[in-house]
Amino acid sequence: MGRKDDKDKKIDKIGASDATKRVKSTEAVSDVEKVKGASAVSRVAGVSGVGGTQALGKISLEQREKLMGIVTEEAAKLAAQGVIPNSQREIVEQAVKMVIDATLIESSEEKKR
Amino acid sequence: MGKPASDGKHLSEEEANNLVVEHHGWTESIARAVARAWNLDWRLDGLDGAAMEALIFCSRRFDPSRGIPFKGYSRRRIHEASTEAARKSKGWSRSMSNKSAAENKARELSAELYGVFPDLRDGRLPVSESSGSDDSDARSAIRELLIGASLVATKQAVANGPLPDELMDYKRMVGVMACLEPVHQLLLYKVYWDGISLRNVATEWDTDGLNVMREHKVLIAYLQKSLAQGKPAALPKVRPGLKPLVTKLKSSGNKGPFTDVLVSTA
Repeated sequence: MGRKDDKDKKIDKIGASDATKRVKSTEAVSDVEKVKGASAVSRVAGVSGVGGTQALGKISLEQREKLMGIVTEEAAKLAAQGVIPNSQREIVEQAVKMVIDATLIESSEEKKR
Repeated sequence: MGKPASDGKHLSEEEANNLVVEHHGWTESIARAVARAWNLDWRLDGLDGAAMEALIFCSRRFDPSRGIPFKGYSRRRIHEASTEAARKSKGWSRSMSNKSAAENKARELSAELYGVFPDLRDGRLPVSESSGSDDSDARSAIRELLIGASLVATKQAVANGPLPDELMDYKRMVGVMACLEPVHQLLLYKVYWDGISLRNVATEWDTDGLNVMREHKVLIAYLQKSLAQGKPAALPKVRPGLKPLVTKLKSSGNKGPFTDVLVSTA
């Protein structure tokens, strides 16, 4: 059985290889264009309105009492937790109230043109 | 209608004068707010003049082609001029001598806080991202201000020689900060010890402002947790935007300014 197989696999003859075709010459590279300068950006428009991030954290005089109340509450909490040392509590609370108060103006003044 | 803009960028003199007239009342309200907070007289102590000068200066420099509204452009300068005038005024030194030592310290501390949180000068609490609730944003910003004020007070006390009963409190705070990564220590040091605003730190580190603001928020939360539980909390990871700086600090052998303070006082 094995022999028959070997017989079957006998090489008949080696065929002639195809003739090598001519290598085509490369085409001429056309001129590389110069890199053009980017056209100038005419102008970036300003952010419109006061909505969104522009109003983030905005405070006004009308909120004064509420804000001062929050400062008192949060200072008490932080002091009770030991985050603010007791020796500092009064000064720190007062300083934060001052710094907020000094930024508060009437919202009507803000809206006026 | 005023004359057309003189150079296409800045306003003509007439247009600039119109801005001054339009914003006169608003400017006065900024000066009044500063005087109210520090218990000064906005006219006698010269806050009105300083604010008006700043308004006129801004009207001459204002460039409408940038698309920023005039109030947004000038508010910080006007506020800054008012607070500077307040600190130089007779009322400031007079009330400094009359008031209690605690109130004097509070005023000095509040004036320093503007360097750390310059957004306050624009009439805004330091809120970098909205949580969707104005109330909780305000609370969180106020907590940040209180802890920030406590850090500045610590720096001032350390510089002036703390009282013996305060010494343990300050050592505890510095100890908690010394556990942080050198880059985090450096951020806190630059902001609270050197008085550089978060935005300026971002510029100095050549990174986005939000990177530094978010990292600062995380550090404040770490301090709050650590000081509340009496031992250092889990250390915050350094966000990718600040990694190049970590490499730089490591290669220079920088262990962080608060670690250095602890080592030198050990």
